[in-house]
Amino acid sequence: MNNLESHIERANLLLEQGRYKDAEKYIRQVLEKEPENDYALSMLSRCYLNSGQYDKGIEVIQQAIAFDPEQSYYYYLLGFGYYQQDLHLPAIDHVRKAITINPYNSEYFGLLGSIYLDEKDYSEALQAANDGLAIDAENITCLNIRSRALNKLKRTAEAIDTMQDSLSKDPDNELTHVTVGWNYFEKGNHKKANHHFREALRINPNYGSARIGLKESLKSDFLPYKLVVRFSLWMSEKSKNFQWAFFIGMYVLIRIMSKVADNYEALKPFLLPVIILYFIFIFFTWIANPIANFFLLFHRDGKYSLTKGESITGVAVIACLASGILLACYGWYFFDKAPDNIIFPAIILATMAIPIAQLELPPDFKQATARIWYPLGLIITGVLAIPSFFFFTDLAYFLAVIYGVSLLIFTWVANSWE
Amino acid sequence: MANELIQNLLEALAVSPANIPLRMQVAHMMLQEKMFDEAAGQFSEVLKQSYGNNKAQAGLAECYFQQGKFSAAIIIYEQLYDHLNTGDRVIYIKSLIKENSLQQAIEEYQKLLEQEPGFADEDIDNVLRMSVNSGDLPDDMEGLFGEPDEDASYFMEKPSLRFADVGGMNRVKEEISIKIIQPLKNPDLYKAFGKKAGGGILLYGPPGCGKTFVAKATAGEIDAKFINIGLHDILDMWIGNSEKNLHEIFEMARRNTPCVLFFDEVDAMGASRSDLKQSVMRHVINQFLAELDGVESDNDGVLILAATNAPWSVDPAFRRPGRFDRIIFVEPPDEPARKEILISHLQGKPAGDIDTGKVAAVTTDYSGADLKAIIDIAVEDKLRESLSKGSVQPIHTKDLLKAVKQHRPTTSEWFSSARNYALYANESGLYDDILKYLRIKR
Repeated sequence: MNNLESHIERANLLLEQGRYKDAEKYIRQVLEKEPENDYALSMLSRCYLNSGQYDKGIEVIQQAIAFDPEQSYYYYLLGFGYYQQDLHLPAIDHVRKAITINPYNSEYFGLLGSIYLDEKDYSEALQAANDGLAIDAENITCLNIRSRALNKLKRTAEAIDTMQDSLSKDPDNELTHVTVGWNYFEKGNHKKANHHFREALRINPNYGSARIGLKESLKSDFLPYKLVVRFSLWMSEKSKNFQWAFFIGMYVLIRIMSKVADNYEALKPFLLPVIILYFIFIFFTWIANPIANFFLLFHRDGKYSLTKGESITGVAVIACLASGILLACYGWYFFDKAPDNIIFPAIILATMAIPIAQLELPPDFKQATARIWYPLGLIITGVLAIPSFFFFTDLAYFLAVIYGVSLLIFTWVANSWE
Repeated sequence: MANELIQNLLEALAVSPANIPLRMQVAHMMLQEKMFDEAAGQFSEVLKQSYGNNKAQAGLAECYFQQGKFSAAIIIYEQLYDHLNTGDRVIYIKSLIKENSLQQAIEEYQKLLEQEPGFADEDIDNVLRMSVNSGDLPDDMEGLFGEPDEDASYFMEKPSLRFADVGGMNRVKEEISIKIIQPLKNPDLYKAFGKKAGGGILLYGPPGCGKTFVAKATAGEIDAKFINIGLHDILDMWIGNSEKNLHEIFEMARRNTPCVLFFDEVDAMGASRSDLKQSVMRHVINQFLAELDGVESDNDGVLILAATNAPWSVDPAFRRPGRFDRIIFVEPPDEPARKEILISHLQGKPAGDIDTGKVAAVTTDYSGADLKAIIDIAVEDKLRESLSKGSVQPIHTKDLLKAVKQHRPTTSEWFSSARNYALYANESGLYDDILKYLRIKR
C-alpha cells in the first residue's frame, strides 16, 4: 500500500468516527500531491458538510464532480449540501441526478424524501420513501420518512405500524425515537412524545431535533400552551388562503358581535364573555411561548434546555404581565373606579409583553433589521409613556396613542414575519 | 587521490574566485574527506559572496555538526527549516539528540517519517525508537506476516518531568498517585490491605488541558519509561496486521518495566457504534481488552494510562473493573494554575510590567493551549510594533488582555457537547464531574 492510499484509508476511518478535523489533515496531504483526486475531494466535502460548513462543502464537491461527472454519490453530497441550506429545488435536482446514475441506493431516496417532507409535499415524500424501501426494506432513513409522511397524510395507524416495526428491529436508533416522538406530539400525546425524545437523547445527547422535541413536550404540560400549539399545528396544515380567510373572518365576526352587544342589552351577558375570551386567546397566542418557557425554568430538566435569551424573555414577559395586572388591581382596590393615570399604564405594561415576546436581540446591532427595531421602538415608547402619566398628562396621551396604533400594526405585520 | 583532486580544484579556484558552483564542489569534497575545518572555510567564503545561499548554509551546519558544535548547527538548521532535504534533517535530528533535546528530536523524526515512511537510521533509532519488527522470527516464517512494517515502531522515552512541573491538577495527581504510583512503591502495604495493583486510568476532558503532560509527568515521577501511542498509531492498527502490533506494544512495555504505556485519543480504538459490526474492528478491541487484562502475560510494572476528548465514544467494555476502572476529568486550569501557566510561557519573552493575576482572572474556561495562544498573539503584535518603531517593545498586561478578547476559549465547543451528555446520558454518574464543573445540580 503506498503512502497516499494509507492516508485515504486513515481519513476514512476518522470520517466514520466523526473526527472531521483529523480526517481533513490526512486528506489535505493527499490533495497536496494529487490536487485532482476527486475521491479525496469528496471526502473533504464530507468533512465540511458534517461539520456544518455547507458553503465550503458544496464548493469542494463541485470540484470533484468537475473531475469525475459520473459518480452518483457526488451528486448526492451536493444535494445534501443544498438541502442543508434550505435550497430545496437544486437539492431535488441533484439527488434525482444521483438516482438517475445509480437507481439502487436507498439512502438517495431517503434524502429525496426528507427534502419533500420539508417542502410539505407529503405524497412525494411517501413515494420516495417507498421507492427506497423497495431497494432496502430496512433502511432507517426511508422508514422514518415514510412514517412522518403517513402521519402528515392522516394515515396515523400505518405511521405507527411502520415505526413499531423499525423500533423492534433497532431499539437504539435515535432517528426512529425522534420520529415516533414527533408523531405522538402532533397527535397531542405529549407524555409519550416526551418518553421517546428522552430515549433519543440518551442515545445521542447532541441530537438537535430531539432536544427541541423534549423542550416542546415539557412545555405542553402547561395546558394553555398545549392548546396554542394544537391550534397552530392545525393552522399550519391549512393553505395560506384559508389562514388569511380564517383570521379576517374571525375579526369581522367579532366586530359584528360587539356591535350587536352594544345595541341589544339583553344579549350582552352572552356575547361579552365570547368577545373577551377571543381577545384573551389572541393575546395569549403572542405570549404563550415565553410564558411556557418561564414555567420551564422551574422544571428539573427543562431549565437546562432553554437558551439564555429564552430564559430572559420568559422572565421579562411574566414581569410585564404581573406588574400590569397588579397595578390595575391596585387602582380598583383603592379607588372607586380606577383612574386613567393608573389603568392606562397598567394596560401598556401588560401589552408590552407582546413586543418583548417577539424581540430577538442580535449579537451585533449593525445587522439589525425592522424585525429588531420595530419591537424595540415599541418597548421604548411604552417605557416612556408609563411615567409620563404621573407628570405630563398631555405627552402621556400622545405617547399612548402612538404606542396603541403601532402595537396594532405590529400584531398584523409580525404575523406575516412568522 | 581525492586530496590531489581537491588541490587541483583549489588552484582553479584561485584563478576564478567568484565561481560559486566550483567552490561548493570543493567544499563538499572536503566534507567527504573529513576536512571539516577547511570545508567550513569554503562554505563561509561562498556565503560571503552569495549571502543566504541555502546549500552553503546547510553545508556549514554539517561541518559544525562534525566538529561537535551542535548548538551552532541547530541554529542554522532552524533558520533553514523550510529548505531542508532529508539528509540535512537527519543531521539536524542527530544534533538535537547530541544537545539532549530529545523531545524536539522525536517530533522532528516523526515529521520526517510521515514524509518518508520507509526511512530508518540506525544511530537515531538506537536512541529514539524501539523497533518492534518481527526480527526475532525464524526466516522462513517472515513471509507469513509480509514485509516487516517500518511504520510499526513506537517512541519510547524517559521523561524528566515531575508532578511538581505540572501546574494545578492536584486532584488528578492525587488520584494517579493512589491508584498507580503508590501500589508500585509500596507493594506490600497494598497487599496487606488486599488491594491488587493494576488496572488503568482514563483521563478525559476538553482538548489542550494537559492530559498528555500529566501522563508524561507520571512516568517521570516514578522514573519509568514512557511509551506514547497516538492517534496515528491507533489508526494504523486498523490497517494491516493490527492485532499483532498491539501485542508488540504491550510486550515492549513488559520488557521495559517500570513503564507507563499511554494511549492518546483512545476513543479512536473503540470507534463508533455502527462500525462495531465490522469484524476487523471488533478484533482489535478484543485484543486490546485481552492485553489490558493480562490474559497471556503479566502486566506487573506496566502502568496503563489513556486519554480522550470523547469519553462517550469509548467502548463501554474498556471501563470494566481491572481495565480503565478509574475515570478522571481533567478540567481547564483554575485561576492559580492559569497564573502559573502564563508565567511559565512568558519566560524568555520581552515582558514589561505584567499582572498575570489580572489576566488569569478573566480567562475562565481557557485551556493551557489557549493561554499559550494568547501569549503568541500578543508576541506577534509586539513584534510588529517593535519592527515599525525600531526598538524592542515589551509586552504589557493590556496587550495580553487585548489578545484575550481576540481568542475565545476553545473548550466552549467541547463543553456545549459534554453538557448534553452529562444532562441526558449520565446513567451511571459517569459525567458527574462535568455537571459539577458546570455547576448544574441534579
